[in-house]
Amino acid sequence: MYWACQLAGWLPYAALNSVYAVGVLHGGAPAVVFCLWLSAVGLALSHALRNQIRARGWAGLPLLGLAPRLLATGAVLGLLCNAIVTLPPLLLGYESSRRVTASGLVLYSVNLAIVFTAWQLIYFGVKFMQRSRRAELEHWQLEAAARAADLRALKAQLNPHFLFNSLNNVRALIAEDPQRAQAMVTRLANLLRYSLASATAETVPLQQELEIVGDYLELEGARLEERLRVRMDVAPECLPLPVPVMLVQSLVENGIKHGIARLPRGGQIEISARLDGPAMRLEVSNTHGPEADRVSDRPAGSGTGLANAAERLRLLFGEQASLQLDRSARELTTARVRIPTHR
Amino acid sequence: MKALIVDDERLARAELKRLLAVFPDVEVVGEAANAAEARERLQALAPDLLFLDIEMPGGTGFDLLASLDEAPAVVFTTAYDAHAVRAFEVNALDYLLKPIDPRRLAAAVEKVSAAHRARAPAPGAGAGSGSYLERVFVRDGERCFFVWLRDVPLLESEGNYTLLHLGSHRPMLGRSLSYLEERLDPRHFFRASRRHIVNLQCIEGIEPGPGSQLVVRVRGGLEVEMSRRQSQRFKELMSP
Repeated sequence: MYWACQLAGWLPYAALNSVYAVGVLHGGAPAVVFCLWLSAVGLALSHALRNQIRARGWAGLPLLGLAPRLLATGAVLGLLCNAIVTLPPLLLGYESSRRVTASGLVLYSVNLAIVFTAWQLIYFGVKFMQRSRRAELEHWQLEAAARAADLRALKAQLNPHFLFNSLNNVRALIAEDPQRAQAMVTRLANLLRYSLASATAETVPLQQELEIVGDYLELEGARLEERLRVRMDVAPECLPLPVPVMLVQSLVENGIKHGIARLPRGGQIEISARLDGPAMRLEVSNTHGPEADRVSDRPAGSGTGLANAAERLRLLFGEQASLQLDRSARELTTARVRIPTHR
Repeated sequence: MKALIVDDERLARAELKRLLAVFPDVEVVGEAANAAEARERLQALAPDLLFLDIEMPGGTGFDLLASLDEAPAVVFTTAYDAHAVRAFEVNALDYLLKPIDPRRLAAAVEKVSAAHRARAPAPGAGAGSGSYLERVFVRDGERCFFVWLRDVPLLESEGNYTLLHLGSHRPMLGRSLSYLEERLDPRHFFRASRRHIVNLQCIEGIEPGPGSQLVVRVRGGLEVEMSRRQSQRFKELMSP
């Protein structure tokens, strides 16, 4: 594209000059040759300029830094061009030295300087447009990627298996225990609303997270009945402290999905939180079957989920925050979260 | 038709029972909360129709079926399981998504009823009550499906398992050949040798072989050499 522009610029320039030389100044063939020669020199000099611009990275300069360079270069190139263009014809005798005057040279230099300044303006103008188009494209691509990631995260959070089972259970309860059914619908609505809101919020007070976890456990209780036992041991001073949204919820969900739901006799979920010096220690433990004790038997996908959660913790609370899975005890998995109370 | 509901969630069982109440020819004779209970109820009640939840702790619905002798008519149920649903569609198995749409349930029940009526009624005998083995549920790698034994030309022994020669594939059944011999209808199945049982309805040709042995060719082109003793018995059976 650069060469197209160069030719589209210098050739018409030569043509214009020729028209002027022949039509107004009544020059002949030598005048046309001169005009072509002028354009050729202009092309060569501007090409050299372009290489310099690239080498020195002028295209990235702000307006304030660019302007003096632009003007200075224009002036220098104007003079240079004038010298290159005017001298040979003089030396070769095409142009009589009488016709060359100091003011004429100066004027012509200024003329050429303007041409080269204009050239630079066009060059930088085009470069600028290209950049802003590219930046806009990148911006939209990032937006699209972010939306896609949001959607994926949302889909992962909604847990369709849990959702449809809950709906089925609520439907059953309508006949058996209408009031309980009503309570279940409320809890389900709370859970869904929280899931959707979690896309935007970053942290919530532990109390709010535990309320939703409570709703979730009630819903799972309707499904698993006596197979789910819950124990909560949360120190009151931990309740207002911020935690990443959906962290405890997803730990509890995993514990039930991979541990308790797989046991015919069921199991126990235990949630505890207490202050320990400069940090809060949050633990979610669940019992599971003996076959899950084998390290190689990790359910697919839980590795990345945990890695993401740990990463989110670090981003929100700094390097002192951590999430670790403790599987050392038999038939028990404990997720240990450490959140510093001040950064 | 007698129906058995297998689902680990009590509410899910109650819900299905409630939905089935509107069908006059379906009687829910029992419930089971896991594979072990299901096996026991199947033995005791001999239902014609099984509503089977896929996601159960301690063993999926597929595992249960593969472990049974006789597979009754089955309608699978699931809340949401992309893998299971794919398996259902690929193998043309009947399934229902929870919460169950009553219209879909009606269609599934009708389909099973029709098949039930079409089968030659064995008076007083349902599946698994001592009548001959007619249909089994097999797993063939990722696939699992029902097989009518009358469509199997040849059964081959593989230690404690039996290979069913079905032309393009040969699924394995978790039963020994001798076990099957006792459960199969002797009018249709003949033990040709220690290694093979032949489906008499699929025989395409019999030729004399070495000694006084017979060589049987079954549908699909497979040839089986009968043992001397069995060749003798076969001749006796076939002579008028």
